Amino acid sequence: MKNILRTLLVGAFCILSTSQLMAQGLTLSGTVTDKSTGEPLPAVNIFIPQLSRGAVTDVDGNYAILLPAGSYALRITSVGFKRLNTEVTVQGSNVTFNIELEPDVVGLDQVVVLGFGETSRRNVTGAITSVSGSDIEFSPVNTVENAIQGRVSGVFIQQNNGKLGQGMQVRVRGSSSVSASNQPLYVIDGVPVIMDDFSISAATTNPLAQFNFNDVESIQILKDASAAAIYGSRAANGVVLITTKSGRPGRTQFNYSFQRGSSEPTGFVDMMNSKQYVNYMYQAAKNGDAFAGSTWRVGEIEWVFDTYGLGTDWRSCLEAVHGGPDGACEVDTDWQAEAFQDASMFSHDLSASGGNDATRFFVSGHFSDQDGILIKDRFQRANVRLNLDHKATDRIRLGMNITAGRSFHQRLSTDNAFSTPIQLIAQMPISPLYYPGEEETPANLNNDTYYYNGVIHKHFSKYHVTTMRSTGTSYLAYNILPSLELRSEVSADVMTGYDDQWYGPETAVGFASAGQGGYASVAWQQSVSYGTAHYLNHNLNVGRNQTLATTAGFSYQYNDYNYAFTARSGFPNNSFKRLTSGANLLSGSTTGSEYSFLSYFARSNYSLNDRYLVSLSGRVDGSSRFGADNRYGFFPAASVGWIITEESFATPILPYVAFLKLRLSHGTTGNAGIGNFAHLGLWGGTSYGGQSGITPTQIPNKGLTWETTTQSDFGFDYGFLNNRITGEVDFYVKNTEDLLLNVQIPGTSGFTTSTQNVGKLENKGWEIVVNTFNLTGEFKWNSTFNISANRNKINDLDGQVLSGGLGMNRAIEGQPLGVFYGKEFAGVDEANGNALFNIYDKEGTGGTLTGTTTSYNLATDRVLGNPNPDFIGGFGNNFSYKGFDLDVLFQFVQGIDANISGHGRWSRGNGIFEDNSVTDQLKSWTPENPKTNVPQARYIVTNGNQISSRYIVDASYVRLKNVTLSYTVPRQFLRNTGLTKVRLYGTGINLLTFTDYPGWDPEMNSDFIAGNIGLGNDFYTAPQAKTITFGIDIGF
Amino acid sequence: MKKQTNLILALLIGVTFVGCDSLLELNPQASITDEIALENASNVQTALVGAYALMGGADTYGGSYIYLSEIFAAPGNEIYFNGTFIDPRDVNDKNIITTNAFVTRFWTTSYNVINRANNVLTALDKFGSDTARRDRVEAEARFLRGVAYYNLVQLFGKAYNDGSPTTNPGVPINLTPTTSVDAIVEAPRNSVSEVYAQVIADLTAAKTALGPTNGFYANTYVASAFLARVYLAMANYPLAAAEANRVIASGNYSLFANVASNFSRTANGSETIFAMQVTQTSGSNDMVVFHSPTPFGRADIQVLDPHLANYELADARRNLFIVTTRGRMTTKYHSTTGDSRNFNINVIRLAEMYLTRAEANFRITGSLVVGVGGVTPEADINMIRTRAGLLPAATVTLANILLERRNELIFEGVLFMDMKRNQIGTADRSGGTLAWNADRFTFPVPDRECNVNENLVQNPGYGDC
Repeated sequence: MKNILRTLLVGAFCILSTSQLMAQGLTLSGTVTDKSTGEPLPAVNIFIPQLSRGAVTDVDGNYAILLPAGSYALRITSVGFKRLNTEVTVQGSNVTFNIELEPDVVGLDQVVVLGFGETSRRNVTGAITSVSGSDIEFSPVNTVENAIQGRVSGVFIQQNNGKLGQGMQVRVRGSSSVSASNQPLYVIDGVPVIMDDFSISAATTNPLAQFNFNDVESIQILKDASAAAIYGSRAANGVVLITTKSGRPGRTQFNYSFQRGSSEPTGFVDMMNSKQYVNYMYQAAKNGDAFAGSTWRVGEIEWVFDTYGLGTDWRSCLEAVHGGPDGACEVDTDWQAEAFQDASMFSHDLSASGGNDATRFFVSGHFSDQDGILIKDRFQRANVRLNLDHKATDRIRLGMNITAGRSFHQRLSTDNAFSTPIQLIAQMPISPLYYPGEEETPANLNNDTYYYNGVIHKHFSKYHVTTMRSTGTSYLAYNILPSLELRSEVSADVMTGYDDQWYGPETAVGFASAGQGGYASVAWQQSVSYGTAHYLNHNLNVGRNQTLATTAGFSYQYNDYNYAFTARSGFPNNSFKRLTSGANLLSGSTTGSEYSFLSYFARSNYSLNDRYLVSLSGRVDGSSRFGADNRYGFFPAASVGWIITEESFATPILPYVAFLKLRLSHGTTGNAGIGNFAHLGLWGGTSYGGQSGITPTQIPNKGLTWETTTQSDFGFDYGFLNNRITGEVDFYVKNTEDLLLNVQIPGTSGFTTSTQNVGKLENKGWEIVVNTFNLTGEFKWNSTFNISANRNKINDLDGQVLSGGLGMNRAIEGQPLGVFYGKEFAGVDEANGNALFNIYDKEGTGGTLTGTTTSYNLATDRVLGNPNPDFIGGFGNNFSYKGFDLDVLFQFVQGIDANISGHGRWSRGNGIFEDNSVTDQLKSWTPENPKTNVPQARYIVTNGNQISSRYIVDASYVRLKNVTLSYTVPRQFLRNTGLTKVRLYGTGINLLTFTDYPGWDPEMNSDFIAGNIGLGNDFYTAPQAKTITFGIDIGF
Repeated sequence: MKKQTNLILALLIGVTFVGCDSLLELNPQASITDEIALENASNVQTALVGAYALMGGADTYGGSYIYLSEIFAAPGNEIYFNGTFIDPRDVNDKNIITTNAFVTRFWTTSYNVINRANNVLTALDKFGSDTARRDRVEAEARFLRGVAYYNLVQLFGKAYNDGSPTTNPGVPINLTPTTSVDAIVEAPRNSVSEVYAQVIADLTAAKTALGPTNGFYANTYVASAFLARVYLAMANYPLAAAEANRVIASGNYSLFANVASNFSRTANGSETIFAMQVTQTSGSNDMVVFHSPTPFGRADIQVLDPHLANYELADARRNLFIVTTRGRMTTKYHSTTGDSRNFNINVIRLAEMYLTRAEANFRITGSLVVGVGGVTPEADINMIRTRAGLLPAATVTLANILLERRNELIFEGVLFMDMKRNQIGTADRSGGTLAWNADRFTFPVPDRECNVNENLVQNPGYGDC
């Protein structure tokens, strides 16, 4: 494999060295400059179709062409600049012809960043989605993924919950793996960045939360194999390339921005009040006794009410049917309201950019402080950046991008903890928040609630996570020839996390109290990636109107991870929160790991007559994660493009169809997103009775190798009506094989799973993007619409069934990843209120319904729903008039199912538990109300609260994701103020959500069980934030 | 052109240099590879400690084997699981679904213990000429394996006295360690009697090779004590009496003056035959999670009034309960002094040997004559009664013996086998009764095992495997 690559590399060099110069009399020469800055432009193509010949400008923007006298049409093209068609006449003597080019930020000539290079949108043959930094700048959301939600076709982005800084699910064209990672590779300014999750709880955190996305110039998402293959083994889930801003020569431009705002939940669940609760449960106790032929349940519920009401009067609100006066309850606590807080946020951004011909810079500083909507949730971010480019000589350029950031995060417990705020809804409304008759101070918070009172956590615990991150990359570029550049890069990405927790003796940690004197722990983690890449970029104009851009090189990346944890208990009092004051050492441990990738890559983009495009790329990756015999993988891809509108036969349609390009690509990418040593047989350490021991932890699998995804993409880019309507359409098929599967093996082996290359799955889909300029002129109206569909299907798992989530998600053959599987709820027996389940003559799908049963075990297991969406997309409109600008973005997710576990099985559980219930349970079966789908309430009797389709609901939604109204003060008012820009704006995030979802918010996935298979589960999962901010943006 | 050539050359050299495979040779830091794990005697010995550690884990004797078997056996209207963990709640209700996670983990963890023991047993050659040490390590590994199989066959197979043990399916027997992906087998269930035979073979080998003392690890009497249990379950009363008597007669152990001294211990005591060791940093005590009230546990397992009716008013064991806001709890896993999470967990103690000898002697003759050990059944029973602060009984019936055993050992992990072998039915949480051999009164084979092993058969009443 390596030999193939070396051959390829040598081959690449062989075609780099030809250049033709022919003396033909006169010289046409000049300088090409950027119209907006006056800066000379290197590497601009000046092409003369009549002669099938052209030239490329040098580093000072100069060009020269020898040619016979005559009149010529010129076509001037440069990536990032609108192409220019012009004419020149050369007669008698040499002619100097200077050219100015206009930057193109949205059109066909916009820059599209590729791995290790860039091209123009016009020449792209792969499937790449771009987002401009200006689209997301100053968006008052937590992370960059939030900011691009709804703006990118084919990318499903889901935030787990409304807690800040939490893990995100980003799926580019569906999930391509069952057990290995499904997250894309993130590359910031050429550096594949660390995406380690430093959370020590089951809920993941987002490693990109430290990144200041206001520094972003552009984001490209490489979706198909052709675009992504240059990242080989880590590209099967797509690649997100983020490029940060750089300076432009000229006067130093400062920009300061400030915004301030507040957030609230997008939704609430309608829980019962005390009176509803007491009467519902009282009836449930009577029903339970009647059903079971017992007599103790009513006494039991009275005892429960007395105990957890702390002796307050609940009998006063018993209805007449239960022998009560039908008045009000003494206590009626709205526990849900206690979960939320007034959430404010503000941010400051200051940047400066500028430079001269030799040196350009961009510097920025950022500070933001955001409260979450849940009590105690808070996220602070401070970040600085310097991007520097310097031209040392005509041939040598160098530069550095460096950023350092710190985030301070007041975290919350996972959704599965009693202490997570949303679990407060399960408390009985008859339980007072404070001890009755006591002053309402934290010390008097009721600690005798049915479940632990999570409000106590607010006052007697801390969970502070401080993360420091520095990412830097330096490059040296040497122009061996004007068209041949050698580029060397070194990079480092250092991420350090400090997790500092303390729990006072008043609190409960897990199932037990923090104990006498409280409990505190500290976890320290550091992940360091070093990388280097060395490659050649060559641009060649070959004879007859052909261009060839070639990149070839190698890279190496090494990551080192270290972890330390220690915990103590027994602190003198609540003022002591540092471990040094704790009397008992409970735990102390360290561990670490490392991995490396060694890679060789190459790509050639060939263009003939500006209309026939061919791209070949490939990468050989070696990884420490596989055994010596299977270490290397080869990931090639090819694509072709045909710009039909460049053909002479297309001339008649040009008034209608200004641009039409067909694209076809095919290639292979890989996935190595598994544990670092999954191929080895491992033993770990343990201890018993103070003596050390060792235990087998992993079965060896020496043959373990890459998971590979082969993808074909057919698409076309179009521009109608003089490019008033533009966009692209893509169809793709992705087949993944040799899945890196956590294979379930018989427990009798002593193990339950083993990572093996087993199985196949596919993703098929389409994406449509339509951009329109509806109105131009003084009142402008642009729209952008995208819609994507992806169909995921597991083709082969060797008969394996893998489960995840809350017992309902499955990976099974013939079905999409993560389908909900289990018993099908058949509704309620009208005669007696029993929950019924369906019996089929076939498991899974198909077959016929043969009857119903009250016996859960006898019901048939069926596929019940799909947590993967049918369609996703966004619809944005931008209106501008004079200085006013209104941006409205809707985002939608359709055809997605969810499992409402927390407020389902427990708060829609027919009174089996003492948990408070949702008011829709008041419609439960009674002899007077036999036609209902809510089974009869029965205290301490199971009547339909088992996992079943009863709790599978549609979670589709349409959301008003972003509304920004801004006013930019006209320049004439700024004269003599020294200001160059004043922009006032207001932004609303998630202002409206249209959904039938019966929980807080349909965009959710419970944080402690979110995974590849664990999809679409709502377990006390906090709603998203609805945020409104106002800001000012000043340039000077 | 020359410059270019030099550059290409330099780059190619670079490629060759970086191409060095050693950059991809990395090793784990917190684990060792199987190639060196059992390379010498000392490592094999630590592997044995690893097997003990798991036997004391939360899914075996550190928790779920004991509390699951107890709340499964006990009538739900007497010992009542009141927590919101649905899996143990279903066990208490005798209404287990095949995906019950607690039941599944008990199965997989028990086999993990067995695999650890099997690893030790295949590496005994590392002891070379140190045969004494080799024999001891071998015996302890077989002890752990035997105990693990006994626990499995109790809960997943039909009782030995229920139909034909030679045809009733027990659990798969696996005696070789899993050291490669290719070695994974889909083993069918061996018969109940085959599993019992394996248990007796392992425990007998342990009994034979081990000495009288071995710290808190297994010794010859620990093996005998377990054999007494196993023979009792098989209704082999002469051997049950003999093994129990061997432990009593050894003089290694003595009853505490006060029954409560058996609990809330951080070290073995005079009555302890075998207990799982728990310290601040090793071992786990999951019993407190369900039995202990705040601040250590959830206090989910309530003792309802009907249970108290079993005790005479003067019985010291009637005081081994505490009333909390979550109802009445046993204090066998809870103390108001000290951190309950760090207490050892009793697995077998001397009182059981007296009770076993008494019952076996009684059953051998059907009368109160002097039996094995030269004592009468009532003498053994009265040892236990007087220790509990009760008057000695002048005469005892089998029912008296069984009640004494139940009152003495409740919540300690023998209730299930006692009810099965004595053919006593139980009740679900609503009071609905189940016969001793009802389908729902046996654990289901975990669904995950059915999914990955096509040679398994499910227990009756739980559908197909």
